[in-house]
Amino acid sequence: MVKPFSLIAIVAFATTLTSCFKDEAPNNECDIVEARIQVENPDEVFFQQSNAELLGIESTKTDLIFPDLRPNSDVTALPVYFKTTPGATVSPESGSAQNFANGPVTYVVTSEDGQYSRTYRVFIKAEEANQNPDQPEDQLAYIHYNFENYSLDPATSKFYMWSDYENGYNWATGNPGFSIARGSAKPDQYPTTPLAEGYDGAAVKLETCDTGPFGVIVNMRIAAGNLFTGVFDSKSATKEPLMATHFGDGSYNQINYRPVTLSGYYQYTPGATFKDKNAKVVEGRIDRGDIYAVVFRNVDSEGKAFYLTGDNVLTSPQIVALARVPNVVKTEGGWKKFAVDFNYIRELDAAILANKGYSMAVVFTSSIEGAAFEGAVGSTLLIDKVSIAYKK
Amino acid sequence: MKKTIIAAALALLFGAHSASAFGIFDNLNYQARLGYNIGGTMPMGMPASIRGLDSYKPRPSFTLALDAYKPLTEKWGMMAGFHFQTKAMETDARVKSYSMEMRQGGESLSGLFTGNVVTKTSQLVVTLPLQATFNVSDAVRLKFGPYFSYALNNDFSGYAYDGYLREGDPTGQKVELGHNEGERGDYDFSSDMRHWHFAFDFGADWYFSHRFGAYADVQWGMSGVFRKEFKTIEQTMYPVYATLGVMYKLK
Repeated sequence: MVKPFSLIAIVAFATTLTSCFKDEAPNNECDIVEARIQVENPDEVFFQQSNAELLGIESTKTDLIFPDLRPNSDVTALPVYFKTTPGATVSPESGSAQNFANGPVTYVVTSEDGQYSRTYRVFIKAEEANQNPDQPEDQLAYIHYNFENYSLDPATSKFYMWSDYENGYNWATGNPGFSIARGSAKPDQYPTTPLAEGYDGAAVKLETCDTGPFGVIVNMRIAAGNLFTGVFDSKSATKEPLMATHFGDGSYNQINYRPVTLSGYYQYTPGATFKDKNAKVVEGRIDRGDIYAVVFRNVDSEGKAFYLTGDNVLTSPQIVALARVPNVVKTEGGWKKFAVDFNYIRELDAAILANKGYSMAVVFTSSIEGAAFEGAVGSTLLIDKVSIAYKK
Repeated sequence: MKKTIIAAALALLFGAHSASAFGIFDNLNYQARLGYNIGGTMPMGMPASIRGLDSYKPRPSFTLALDAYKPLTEKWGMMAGFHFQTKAMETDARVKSYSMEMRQGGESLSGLFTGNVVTKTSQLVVTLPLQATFNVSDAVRLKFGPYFSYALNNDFSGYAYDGYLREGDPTGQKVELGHNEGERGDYDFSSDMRHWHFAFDFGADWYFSHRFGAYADVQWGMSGVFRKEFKTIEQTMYPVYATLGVMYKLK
């Protein structure tokens, strides 16, 4: 006899609740999610059409750096159009012509409710003509990565970041993802940290860490220390972790040269106990590190900007060359040198290369199966003095 | 034995002094009640951050009660008793920029969540009501009065899913939460709930035979379910439950 009564009560209750919902409040987010340069002669200005737009801008990024325009392009009156989170306004106005010749232009984005605002800097410049006019075609030149330039992340000061550039970052780590799981960790307790006394000056220390109780819930119990040229998009870190690592993403990682050799110095110490994804000990298995560099076509078949992700960084059909240190196992007696040549699956297309149609991802990790959340907590990879030998 | 327990309880409730002054143990009659509770733990006036309710499920909730009734005049009387109640529900709400905190071990992740939030609440409470009664007729008695409850067991937990969290404030890092277990954000605020509650109860008893009757009650919480220091859910959440049930006059 209770049943029909309760049914009526449910309906009455639900109706009461539904009737008292308030009107939606104005949005309080103030993000630029996309930016696009509009010009009348795109072929003359952009090396590739995809360079005109920055899509899927990460939620914490406020320095927006476009790939360099073709040499001698006029940057004194460029309109940049923005897509923001709903309702947000941009000042100066989206699409207004601005002068980028004297450095970045500052835009302030204010949320619809007026309560929040963020300041963005947009960088656009033309490539300097003839960077190395005297370099003979066959002679090797070098890009050096010394890892001396690191700082705490500007938004939260929770973890370290690395860059070889004054503005923005060409290196990324999984540290932002670790901060989601282990918000209480100090900067030097993160998987990727600077090591003051390296081979020469500071080095980078990558250590496979336990992600704590949150990691157990999402079944991502470890975080391998990693460092790679690209972008880490933490919004995917818990939902689709393989999609969070954008290898070779970003304008700094486009190349117009032919990488030949990846070299540098490392030390590796495997952690004590190798565990699989479900924290089951794998008897007899010793963890290994991974050091490699990949060259890939940075535009997909639809003409959109392309980067590698955790699921395809070694398997994508966009890949044209790979240099990988074969066996990163326990080292003895200090720093060990590595030098591996790029193995070209396909020859580079000269015209595409001239237009920076290839990008390079340089990747280091303390656990080779870290992307699958398998490895040994405590595995440590030290990296210093990395260089890429290349030819024009 | 039974009478001793009830007497002791009533003595506790009223205090020994007033009990003797009233001569309260004279002329009492007792009812046993069995009821089904339905309701929810909710804010009074929805905040704008709650955009809609996709589902509301009452979870099996029962009242087992023993009341003592004392007529004071022909129409007016008093009622007091012991109620054991479970109050439980589950909701799935659509939220926008809703204050959330996920905690696990010593770690926490907090911010503003936009998406769906499933909330499961349940409380096992002992309630001591004291009600004024008015006999509308021989068969129908109206009741109104305050009560204190003590929660023996509290649960307020659930998960945020299909949406994203802005860590800290709307300018913070965006963290997407997925649909399936392992992709969503679990929360548990059970330990932030208070044990003592103050509330009002109003309702009616209807006797359809000499001994048997039906009754309906509304228990309207006046104190929020959470401790004052708990700030994650910004609006105060009140338990509001209705009970429909049957009763039996023991004496």
